Amino acid sequence: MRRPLAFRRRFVDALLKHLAGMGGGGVIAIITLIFGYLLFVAAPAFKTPSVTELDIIDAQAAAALPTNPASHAPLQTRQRVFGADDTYALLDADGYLNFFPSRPPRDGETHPPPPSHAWQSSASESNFEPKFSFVPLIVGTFKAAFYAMLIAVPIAVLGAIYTAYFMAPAMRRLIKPGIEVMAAMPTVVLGFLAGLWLAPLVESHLTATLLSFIALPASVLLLSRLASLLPDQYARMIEPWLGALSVPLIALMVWLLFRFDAALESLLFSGDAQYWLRTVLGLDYDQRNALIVGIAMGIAVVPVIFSISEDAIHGVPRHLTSGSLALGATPWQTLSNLVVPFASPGIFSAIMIGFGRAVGETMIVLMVAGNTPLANMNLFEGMRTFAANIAIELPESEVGSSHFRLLFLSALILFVVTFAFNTVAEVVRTRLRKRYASL
Amino acid sequence: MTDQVEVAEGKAAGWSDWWRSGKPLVWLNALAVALSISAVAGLLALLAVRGLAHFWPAEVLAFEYLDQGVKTRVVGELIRRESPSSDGLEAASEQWLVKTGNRRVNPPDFRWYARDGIANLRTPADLVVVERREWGRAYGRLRALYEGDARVASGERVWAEIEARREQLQSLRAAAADVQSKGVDAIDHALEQLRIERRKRAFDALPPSLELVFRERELKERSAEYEQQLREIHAALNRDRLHLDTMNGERIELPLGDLIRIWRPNQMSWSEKLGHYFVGVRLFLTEGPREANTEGGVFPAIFGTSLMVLLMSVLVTPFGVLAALYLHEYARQGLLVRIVRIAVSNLAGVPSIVYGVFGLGFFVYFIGGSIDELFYAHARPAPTFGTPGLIWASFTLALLTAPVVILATEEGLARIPRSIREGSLALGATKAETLLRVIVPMASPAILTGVILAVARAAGAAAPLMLVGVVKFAPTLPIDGHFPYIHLERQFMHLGFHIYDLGFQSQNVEAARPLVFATALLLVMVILLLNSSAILLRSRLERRYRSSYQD
Repeated sequence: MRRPLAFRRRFVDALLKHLAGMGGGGVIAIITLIFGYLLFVAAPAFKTPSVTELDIIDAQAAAALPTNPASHAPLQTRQRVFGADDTYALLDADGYLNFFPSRPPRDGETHPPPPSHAWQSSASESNFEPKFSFVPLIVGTFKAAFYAMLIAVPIAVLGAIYTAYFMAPAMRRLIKPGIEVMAAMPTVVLGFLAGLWLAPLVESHLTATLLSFIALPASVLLLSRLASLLPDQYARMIEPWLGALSVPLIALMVWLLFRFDAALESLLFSGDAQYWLRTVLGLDYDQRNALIVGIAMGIAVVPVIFSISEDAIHGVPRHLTSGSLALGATPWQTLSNLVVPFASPGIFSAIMIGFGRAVGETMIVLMVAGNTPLANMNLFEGMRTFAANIAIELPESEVGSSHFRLLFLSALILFVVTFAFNTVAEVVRTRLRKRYASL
Repeated sequence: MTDQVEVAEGKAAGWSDWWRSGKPLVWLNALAVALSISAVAGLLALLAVRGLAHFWPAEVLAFEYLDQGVKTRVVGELIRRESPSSDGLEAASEQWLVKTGNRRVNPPDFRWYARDGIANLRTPADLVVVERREWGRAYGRLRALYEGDARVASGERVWAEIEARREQLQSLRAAAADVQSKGVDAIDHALEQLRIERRKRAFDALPPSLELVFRERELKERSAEYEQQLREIHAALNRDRLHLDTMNGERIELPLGDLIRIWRPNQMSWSEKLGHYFVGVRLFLTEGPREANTEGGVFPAIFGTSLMVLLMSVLVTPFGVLAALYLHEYARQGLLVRIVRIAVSNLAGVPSIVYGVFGLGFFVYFIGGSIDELFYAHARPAPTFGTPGLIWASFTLALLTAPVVILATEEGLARIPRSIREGSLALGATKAETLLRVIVPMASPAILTGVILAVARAAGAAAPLMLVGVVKFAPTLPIDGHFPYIHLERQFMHLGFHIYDLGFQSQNVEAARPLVFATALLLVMVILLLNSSAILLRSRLERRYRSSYQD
């Protein structure tokens, strides 16, 4: 017969159960709290101003309104009001007018200046109105992530395919943790190397950098053609070790390109690649540009995408591939018609997670992107992303001001975007895991 | 897999056969792996070479430089050469960047020279390099050593005199540090406490008590005494002055108290250079930064990072383990668990800067502000906890690293076979006893793995920290000899942020550059060490369960 447990034992049992429950619930609570708090701070930024129809009034009407003696009080909503004699006033949230001497219109500027999508939160002038348009920041964030993915996705996914499917097992045991350790590399180190070392190097060797994107694949293809002339048994012997064998090839190619950069530059761009870009393509060149951001952030994102897609490809049940090979398909046909389609949800979720990383990455962009809020997709110009903007401006922002709330809003946007990407990725991965388990 | 099947068409001979065999694409895939490997290896090699080279005593060059008919004599270390740009606009000569030092008499301390103008290049044996407390390095020849106004030695004999004074200088410096910490700082602290007392009483509309006034007066008198002592020690330190001749004939006068190291790189033997190297590494690891962080060491950053990481581990470990226990041991698989899992993966995926924004708004301004209002009302409007600080940084990073611990612990729990749980339960243990005495101890290496990974992540995280408590220079460490010993509200320095600050916020980029590489190398080494130990731990764990518990 079962004896009743001592009170202490029952108490500990129940306590641990509830503590564990609180731990599990805590995770949901934290996510909800982060979302809720960001929303709570950001929401007043959307509050419609109390008086709105006062765009232009004449000086007498303006004079009739009560003025706020403390004219430097923080203005919650700002509304431009023009007087007849070129003074202008800011209307604050309480309906008070604050008069300022108007600055003279600049050359070619109508009064008021034409609207534009600009982000400019501070300036040296005293009667300056901040400009809060998210457009340059959205474009910048997307641009940085886009170029990073353009570099990271091919390298990570193709590398994962090779590692999971073709590589010698002995080498795979070394390579996989090696690349995963790379995921732990602090982004501040990557950013500093890219900003202080890579950016000047690329600036002075632009031709070589651009050419290596073509020359590396081309030289590998050429070598592969040469290898195909070898007897079959040798070709099959080197295939699993190609991953390591190509490293010297890369080193050699890159060295050659950078060594003969000047000659190549005069051959292709008549001596000055940057001048050629500017005159022929009409593109400006900054030292800290999207190309460098793409390379640095690509290196940061590769391990993430690589690791998840490698798991997905390696997990494809062996009996499927064996069946395909037994039916006479080549390894490549098996791979492209069976393995990759089967593992594609995993690869998809890997790319989603990688994109989420790239969107929110701060330090690399902060150090490499130049941080000018430009709204273009030029590969050779910088940008300012949401994350970098927060890192630059939040420490100096006045608590409770519109600027402060807008920075919280941009954090909220980052949160929501990455939340959506991660949730989709997680759901897809869970489904895939079930499918693997059922086979 | 590849060795199982022959290519159906036989040997590929033509271009189209070659393309259809899929081999070129395999080669391209291999290229992708090789690129990743090269990137990893290249990065580490670059960091290692640049970071370690900084401490090696480089040769000091002396040359004559002819520029537009004016001849100058230059002494310095060659930092790097740059080949001429291909623009064809400038003269096609190699450019040398030379660190000429002597920032006070002859700024700037880094200059470019065209190789063509350099003549009479030598490495004279009698050139000395001086590392000093202010104004960066000095280069020159020893001229004389003065004791007060009396010249003690001149020329080559100065070196021996400096050597002879080394111990005396060290003991004087130790005495100065002792008086500073035991005397001046202690009294400053006591005075600060009294000031707070005074403010508290003023807050309650009370006049300061008589005792308070007397104590204040007494402390001020004692403080004057200690300051007098300190002045005397400094006078003794600065009694001896070293005179250096620069190449252009200016004279540098340097109190020996300001001298940190002096060496003659051009006549050092290989073993002396090695000794110098290790002293340099030691100074880098144990000293604080000088000269707006462009000289000196990174000790406060190492200390701040370690302390923050320690606090964070204390916060995150129980939470992560409990959440993992819930997910793996208690919860029934269903919608709720799925939601918790999605929340965990989202916690891992939310950008770190968002944590920083949340930490600043919620922890610093909301919770910290409330604590100030409740307990530190007398100190307002100056914030105590309502400002970025160590504790808020630890809390923020605990949130950031929670998913790492949760996932690692869950993985460890999943490895423990069901039979062990069932055995324990069958012997009459409650569920809590099974978990606490059997399962959690067995999973402890996995938990440790998770904590190590969390620590590695926190050591490298710079973005959220710059919002919630890290500063470029903290005058005091967060731990000192005054009650309550650990000052959780203080701001601190962090290795990751230090790299950003050195590399991108420094006024003297060239001077800071070698230090950034050294700091980055240090950080990367720590993180790689942590990660590889976590990987090793995990693989040992895997092997253990495979051999002994598999049923």
